[in-house]
Amino acid sequence: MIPPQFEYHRASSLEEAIEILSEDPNAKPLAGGQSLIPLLKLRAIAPSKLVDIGRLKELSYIRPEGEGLAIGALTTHWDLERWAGPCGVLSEAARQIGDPQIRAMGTIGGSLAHADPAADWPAVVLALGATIEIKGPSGPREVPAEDFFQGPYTTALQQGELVVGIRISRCPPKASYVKIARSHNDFAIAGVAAALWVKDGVVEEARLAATGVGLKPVRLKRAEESIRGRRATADVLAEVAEAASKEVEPISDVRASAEYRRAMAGIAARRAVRRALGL
Amino acid sequence: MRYVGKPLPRLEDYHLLYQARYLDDIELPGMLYAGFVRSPYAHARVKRVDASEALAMPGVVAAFTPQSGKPFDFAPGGKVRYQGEAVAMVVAVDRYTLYDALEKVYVDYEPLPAVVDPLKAMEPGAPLVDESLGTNVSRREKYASGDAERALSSSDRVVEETLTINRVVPSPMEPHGVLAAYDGRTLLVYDSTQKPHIVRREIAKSLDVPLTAVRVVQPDVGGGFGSKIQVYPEEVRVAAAAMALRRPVKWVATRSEDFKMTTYGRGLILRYKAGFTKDGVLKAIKGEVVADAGAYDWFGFDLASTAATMLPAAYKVRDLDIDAVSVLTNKPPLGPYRGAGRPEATLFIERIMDLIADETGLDPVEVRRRNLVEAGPYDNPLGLHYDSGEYLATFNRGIEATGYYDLIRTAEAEKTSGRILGVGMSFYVEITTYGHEVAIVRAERDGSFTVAVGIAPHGQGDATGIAQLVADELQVPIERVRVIWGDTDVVPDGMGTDGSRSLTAGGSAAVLAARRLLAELKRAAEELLGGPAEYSDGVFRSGDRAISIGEVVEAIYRGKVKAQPEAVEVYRAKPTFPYGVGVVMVELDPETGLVKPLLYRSYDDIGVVVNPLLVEGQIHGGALQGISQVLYEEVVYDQDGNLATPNFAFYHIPKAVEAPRYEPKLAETPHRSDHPTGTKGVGEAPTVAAAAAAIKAVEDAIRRATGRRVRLTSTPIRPEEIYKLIRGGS
Repeated sequence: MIPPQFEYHRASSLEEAIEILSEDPNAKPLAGGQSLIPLLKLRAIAPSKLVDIGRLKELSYIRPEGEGLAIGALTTHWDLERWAGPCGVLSEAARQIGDPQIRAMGTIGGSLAHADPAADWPAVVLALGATIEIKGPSGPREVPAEDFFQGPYTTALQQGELVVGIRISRCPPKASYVKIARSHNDFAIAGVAAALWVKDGVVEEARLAATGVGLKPVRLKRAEESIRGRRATADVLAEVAEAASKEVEPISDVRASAEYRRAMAGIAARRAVRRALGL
Repeated sequence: MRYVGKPLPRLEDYHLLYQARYLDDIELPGMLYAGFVRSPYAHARVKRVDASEALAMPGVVAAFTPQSGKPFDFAPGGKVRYQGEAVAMVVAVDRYTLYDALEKVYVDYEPLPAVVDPLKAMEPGAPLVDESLGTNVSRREKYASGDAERALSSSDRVVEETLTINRVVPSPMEPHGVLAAYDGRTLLVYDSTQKPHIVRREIAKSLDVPLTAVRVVQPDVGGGFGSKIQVYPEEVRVAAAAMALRRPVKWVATRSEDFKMTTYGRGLILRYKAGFTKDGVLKAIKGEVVADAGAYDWFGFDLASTAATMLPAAYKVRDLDIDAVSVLTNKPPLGPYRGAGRPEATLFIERIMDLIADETGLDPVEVRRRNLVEAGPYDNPLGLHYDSGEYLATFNRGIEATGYYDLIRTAEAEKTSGRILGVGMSFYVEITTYGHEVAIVRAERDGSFTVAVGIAPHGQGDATGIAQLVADELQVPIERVRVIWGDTDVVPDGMGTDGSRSLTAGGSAAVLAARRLLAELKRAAEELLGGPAEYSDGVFRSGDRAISIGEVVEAIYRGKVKAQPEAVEVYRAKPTFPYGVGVVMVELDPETGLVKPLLYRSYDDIGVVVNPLLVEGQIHGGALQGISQVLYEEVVYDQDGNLATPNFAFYHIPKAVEAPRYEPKLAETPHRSDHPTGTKGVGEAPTVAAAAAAIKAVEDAIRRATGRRVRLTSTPIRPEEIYKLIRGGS
């Protein structure tokens, strides 16, 4: 790697990291580096400072909390891949990210803060109804995942703020993440996460979210409506797929056309629901 | 003692875990780093290059620009002709300074309209890549025999079609790089190349110095796949800079830079008409193979002409009229890539055979049977002499050995459980080996042997194969044979490693040199023994007297007997023609159009098999590259010639998880080549076979999913395209 010159600062505490980042608008936090380092390699960015928060062990945890889960921002994809507790969809999704090397280094907080419009975690946290825990110069705050993602590589984070954790208040009993991609470690053409609550074969509550099919990850609210209060029959699943296809607003790029992405959003939505329900 | 035919593990890789020395591992005292300023435009006039700000930076040692003239030769004709073409070079004390300085070189470009599509480039009025030619058609030659026009008009059926094979990035693990150091008399050049002696000649010629003033060393090389055949302008420029600055200068491409400057592979189009009888016999092909040559016709024409002359394969058709055409476009130059013209020829002709099957309703196997030449030697109608082989019988055995019909039955059976499989088969004959090769076999004082060869393997395992051959020839343990290569100081000439030629050409040179050396040692032994001697397993015997081969060599070096302890062989290596059958099975997800390769089976007659383990390794990698061409790899340019797939984030190469299961078989009774080794080469054959089989496998899967006759005419086949075909698009 031959990046432009930058200062390197290893933060010994979260407060120290926030202080440096809020003083210097061109400073960037470095966690697992799986998005930042490639950008530096390409000289696509020229940060003044890298504030390495990678050693802040206190930000690496997965803790059951009530019916839900609290996850530290520096928890790696690999940690989540091995997670065998509630919200098992985290493990299923983690397995589909990159390759073992990337999963060993990359962090969930880094991925969320980077907000690549085709990344996997954003769809998953949306479907899980997660809250993003943020800490910055004016203290901590919490932002629902739905308000966190604002556009490609753009989030609710203000200068000096860091993602410190993800809080899921209620793990869904049934969930799945389905990613349609060209090859194993590629970005999603379309990815859909589904979280479902079922009683007596009827889907009482459904939260679906998609990635790769727009400028930011989106909840698939019409697809959710099409299954809420119903049994997941073939007809209903077809409605889910159709609704998902219709409500996304994908763009065309070198990976896939908008039209294809739209179709794949539907396929991924149907598969995610089926897989969540074990159909 | 017999080593040939045994699956010996490779002898030459022992150091890779501990002391691997790739180009970028080599550091010399006082070394400087070179880098290139590259054009953001695919086509532009270069009006001015200003490196003064870069030169003023601390740590920047030199800059070379179009004003530097030859041998740097930036922006020839005052233009850049592809995105990424170098316009200037900066030399600095470290890479960080260097990359900062590259951003401080200001180039005044006047963008020109770019021509990206080779077929459009042929049309009148297209922007010209090289104005001095007055056309973008760089070269056109006709390869013809019989009377194609007449045969077409007397055919029962005539089809007309365009088949397109996309460009691919060769993608070796190690990108390009070179390190040059000048000591006042000799230029020492470390180069990540497939052809050290050719690099030496090019550099000596460009710098106008004798060959003795240039030594080229090939360190460990992390693959080439043909992309390190061309001697790039960068290699000459780095050498020239080292000479001018009298300090070692190193340049190593980053991966993104490699995507900009490497030669690209494939990029051939066949526009054709074919005539055949209602019984499925191909009567004639008339058409043209168009090479998307890129900005400079380094290899474009050669690739088109290889594809044109190999187009008839081992089929009986003799009325042919094929033009080979190379067309300049505003893209990086086309170059050889594993197979270099033969995967293309095979995909073209096998697509034609499949089309005949579709049109006549005959089984694709039966169509090939009706068209195949029974056996070689065979003179192909376009002038190539196929040396040996039983084409028809081997094809039949191959269909049996690969279980082709079982796989078809499996695919049919799986369909009932909702799983869509596709099976494709190809027959190929391909051309390998050319030119000359040099080997020196030297007896060491203890009766061990050093074999220096002009081939330049970089991962293929040829040193193991050659050690097997020489150990057998000399009847000594293989531990007493050391094969060295990749240094112009150890062998005066050679053509390097490409064209599946290394074991055949280099191995034959080594065998003949060893044979001559042994004859010389025998003569010396007879003088020492005082009578005619017999040799076996390292010992010369005459009556009841005996002397070991080591004692003979010892006597030579001590001057006790007059003999040459070294033999040099310059071997002229005629082409030879391996052939066989490849079968690919894929699984299609009909909802998404995604295809996964499941299985590669093959049945190859590659002549004598020196080392089946090396052969199998070649088949694994080669087949995957062929399949990958069809399923994954796609170079995309926009209409202005901007590369839309500039790195591995956008360009798909298969990883281990995408690889199919490999079940290769080799012909039980191989047909020897005429070479002393009897080998025909296998480095490219699996790539040749696999691509043609893979496209048919995908087509078969789509047909099975839809029940409709779908015809695929270009690679790669994107999942999106398959999705549309399944949904009923055109």
